[in-house]
Amino acid sequence: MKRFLNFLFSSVVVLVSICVIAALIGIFAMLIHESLPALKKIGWEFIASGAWYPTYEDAEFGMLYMILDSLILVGLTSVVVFPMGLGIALYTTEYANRREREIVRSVTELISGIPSVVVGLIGVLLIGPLMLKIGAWTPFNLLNAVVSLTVLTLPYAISLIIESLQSVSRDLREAALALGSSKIRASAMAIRGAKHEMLYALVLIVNRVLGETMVVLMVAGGAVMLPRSLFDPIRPLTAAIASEVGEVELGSLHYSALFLAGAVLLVISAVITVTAETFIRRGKRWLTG
Amino acid sequence: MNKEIVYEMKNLSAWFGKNQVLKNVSLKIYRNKITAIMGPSGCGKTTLLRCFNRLNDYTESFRVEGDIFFNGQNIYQMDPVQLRRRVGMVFQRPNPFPMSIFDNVAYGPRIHGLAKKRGLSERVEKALKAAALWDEVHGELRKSAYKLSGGQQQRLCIARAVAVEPEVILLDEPTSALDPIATERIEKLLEDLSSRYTIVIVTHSIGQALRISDYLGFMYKGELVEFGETSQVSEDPRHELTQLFLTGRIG
Amino acid sequence: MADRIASSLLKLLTYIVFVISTAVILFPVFKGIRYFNPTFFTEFPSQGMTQGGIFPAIVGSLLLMSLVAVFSVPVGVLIGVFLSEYAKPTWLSALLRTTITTMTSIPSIVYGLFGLAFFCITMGFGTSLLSASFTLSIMTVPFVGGSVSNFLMAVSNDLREAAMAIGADKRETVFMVIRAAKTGILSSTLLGLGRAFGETAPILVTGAVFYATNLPRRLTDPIMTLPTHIYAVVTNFPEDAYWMAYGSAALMVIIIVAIYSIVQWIRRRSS
Repeated sequence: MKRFLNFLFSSVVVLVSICVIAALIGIFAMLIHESLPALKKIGWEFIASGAWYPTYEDAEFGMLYMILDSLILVGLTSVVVFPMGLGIALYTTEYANRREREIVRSVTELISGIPSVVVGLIGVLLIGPLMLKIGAWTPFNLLNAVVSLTVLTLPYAISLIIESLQSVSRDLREAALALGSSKIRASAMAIRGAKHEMLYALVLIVNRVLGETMVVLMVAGGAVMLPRSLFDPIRPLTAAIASEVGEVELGSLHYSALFLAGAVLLVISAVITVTAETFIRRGKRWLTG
Repeated sequence: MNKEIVYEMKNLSAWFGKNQVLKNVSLKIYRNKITAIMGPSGCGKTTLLRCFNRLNDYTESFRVEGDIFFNGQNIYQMDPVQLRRRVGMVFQRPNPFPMSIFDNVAYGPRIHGLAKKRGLSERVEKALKAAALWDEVHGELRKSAYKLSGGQQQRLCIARAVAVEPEVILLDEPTSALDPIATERIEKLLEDLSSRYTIVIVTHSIGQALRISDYLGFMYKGELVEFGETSQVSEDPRHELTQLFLTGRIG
Repeated sequence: MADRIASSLLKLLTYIVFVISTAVILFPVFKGIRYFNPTFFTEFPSQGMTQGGIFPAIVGSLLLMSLVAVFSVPVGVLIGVFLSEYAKPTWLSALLRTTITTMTSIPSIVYGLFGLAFFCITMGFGTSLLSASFTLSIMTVPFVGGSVSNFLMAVSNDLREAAMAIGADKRETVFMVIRAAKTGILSSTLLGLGRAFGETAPILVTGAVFYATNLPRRLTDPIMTLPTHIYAVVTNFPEDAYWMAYGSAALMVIIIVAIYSIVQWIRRRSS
């Protein structure tokens, strides 16, 4: 009996693990399967053209502008979030007293759980009106998306960067201080020492922004165009998928094209991750000779 | 005097990866005696002890050659779960389960189906008495085991081992994490227990080995340099290394 | 000198950002909490979301979360057990680890697409509670599994050896380790469910309706949930319905903050 239970338990554990692996394969398979019709019909046009008129008589499915919108949004948001996160993380790990550290830690954690739809609501009802006040012609635009996404991802960024700074051993920092270097230099040393971890943190932040759906759906404006200013509306891939998939005719070309957009999203994220990992690996090899 | 052999180890060698930790060790463990294995740290004595209940087996890189017989039966042909039911172990650091005092002691009997409800409390009481812990804890058996002091926790671990009524109790430096008073209590306890159980204890304390053991082995760099009755080993060691260790010049 | 300047600048940045982001996060709470009254929690919305309450959205979220908990927690814990207790470095454990990191980095809308294609259409569950709960469960499992495995691995080997030495078999040893890590497992579970609770896009695609006059009776009925309700009100209704979104958002923020506070409390108590 005891032996049977033991065997049964181990089998269940292994079986469930295999099921989870199968689920991932299933997700990929489904995504590819559903996007193949679009890929066949549209061909490489989907990435070469920016004209996205999925519901027209002569439908066009060019995703270039939406891809660029996604990338622009990711770039701008990272440029805002990462330095801010780094500054706050540096203050927290290097300068803050115990009390401040505790507060930063627990508050960032509490805020990081706020659902994105709530941040979307804040973007629409609080930041949107502000946009009009500072001269935007629409409350929902690139700038609003950047600001809202900053609110959403900053806590996440802070805790990631704190973690990577803490991965630098205290010895290194103390060694720098003992040699008579100033605290800034010691911090610079910590940043240098943690540069791989920080690059990895940046990748996680980028992926988070890239995949974020609700906020951009609610505040980015939704126009398929290349923004010429911060006040122009945009339509990143995730927003397009989320807003169109609800009304699309099942099995249609448009339906398939949305799956293709999902696949493109995964490919972008994979390229970013792999590039960063190659950088890290090469950097390590270079360091160790 | 007719001495019954419980364990017989024959030409045992063991490796962790490429690192040989035991070299051709042979020895016999006699029933209801206390056998102590001493030696400097890193000499392989703990690995040797953990061979008796096959606790090294799950370590990925561990490899063993040679034979160990338990009551005449080769332990590498036994079910390790059955073997360990008959051979209890107490570790260097007290490691009670995250449960109440009662459940700690009752754990072994429960998983082996040794006693039902009524018998169980009797068994627990007996084991706690055998481990000289009953008087201190009998009013608060439901308390978490983590609330006990280090010495009490170690005696709880002994009670936990005793509760399944094993034939042999293995102890791996059981007092190294304890203060002198707790150590003395446990040494005294081991002498009491030896009337009913066969005890094998690993220690780096020469004093402890001499005080409590009937048989004494000395290990050095993976080899069992010396093994015999304690009186003989302490008074007239055959090997120079043993002499050096006993007089504190190596170790 | 330079140190002093750097320190004050960073301090200023930290304080400003903290005050602003806390204020921003608290904005919907302040705006919404005034609508909390019995009607708000117990009635269906009416008059184009200008009257009534969010009862069906609360019930929908509760049902959804219960199902997600039932599906994803046991699976997540078993995955954690495999990674921590069975994973001698075999190809299977390496593969599972890669699977989990990959799955946690897939955007939620892609899970939505998968759920739509697989659960709603291929399996024929339609836009329903069932499809949404399966989709959310698949998202939650890798998060819970990864986190549980970390907590199990943090359990000292002494305990495993103690159990084995007394003759516990693999299953009994694993249960002992689980017992030792139970507060960690509880907080992984809470955090995983907290994340699932706030997810919107996948539910939007696989299981949500914006307006319902009945509670769901079957697993294959669609549901209203708090997050999709907020989205619906903000994007599809005129200004005089916004109060309902504020109220729902306030409720969500309070629930999330409560969950995270419980987790922090557990952590502080167990350390």
